[in-house]
Amino acid sequence: MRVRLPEYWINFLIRQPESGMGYHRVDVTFEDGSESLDCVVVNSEEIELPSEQRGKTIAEIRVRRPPNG
Amino acid sequence: MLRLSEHQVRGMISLPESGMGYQTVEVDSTRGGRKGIVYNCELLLWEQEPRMPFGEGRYEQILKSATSAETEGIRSIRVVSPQHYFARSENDQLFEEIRKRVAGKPATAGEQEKTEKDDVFMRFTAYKDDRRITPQKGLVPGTYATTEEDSRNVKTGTDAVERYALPDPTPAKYRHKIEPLGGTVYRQGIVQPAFGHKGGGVEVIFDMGTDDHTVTGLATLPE
Repeated sequence: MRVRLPEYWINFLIRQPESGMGYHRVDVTFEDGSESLDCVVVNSEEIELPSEQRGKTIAEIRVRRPPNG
Repeated sequence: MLRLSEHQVRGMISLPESGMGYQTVEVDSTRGGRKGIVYNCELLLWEQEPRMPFGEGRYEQILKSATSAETEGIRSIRVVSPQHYFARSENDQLFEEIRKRVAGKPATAGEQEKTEKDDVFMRFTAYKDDRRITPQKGLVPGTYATTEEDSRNVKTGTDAVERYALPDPTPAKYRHKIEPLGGTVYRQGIVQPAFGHKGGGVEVIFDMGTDDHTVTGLATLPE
């Protein structure tokens, strides 16, 4: 499912290097401790999450770094 | 530019590629030795010939109109390593571009370079409100784009999705022109396959972003 991020995370991602043209690859930790790895955020504002994370609050977003970057 | 004979095509098929869809070759003929590139095992462009875009439909037309190699006295065609080919190439610009393509590394593995005064880049996006462009029309640090030359391969938003291996299948039909000030730091590489797309386009990353008023010229492509 595609979800629009809160403004806090949008502003956070705008300050992070992209993973490619117009997107970030991220790992997400939710407040309940669960994680979703290697998710895609497009235009720093919309994230594709598994449906089982519906309604959860994001605690942390980490941009994945390429192996050589 | 020559269209290889069936016999030569079978020979090329049995030889390794130098990169995706092409072979760098040395040709021995009655006119002496020459270097070139064979595309799809069947179309030989000589080293000095200008490149041309092989868009869908156009390649077939070019192949059909090419001179048959049977009349050219070719004795042998030998596939050589791209490094061997490029080390002696007289066309430095082509050499540099294809060297980078053959190297196949992403921009994050590239060496830092600095733009020249009139360098132009393009950024394709599916989002009219591109978050990586500041209100002052600069790029934020760590933003991707492509070279103006590579962007000529992209005629539609769907082309951009495929060439730059974008995760969102929505056609990236909005194209921003970027004209950084001279001396702007960037790294260049080749888009790696991802998200079911081939990639293969040239990508650049502006590690420090670009100055204000360097992003201009929003164009909307067909989807």
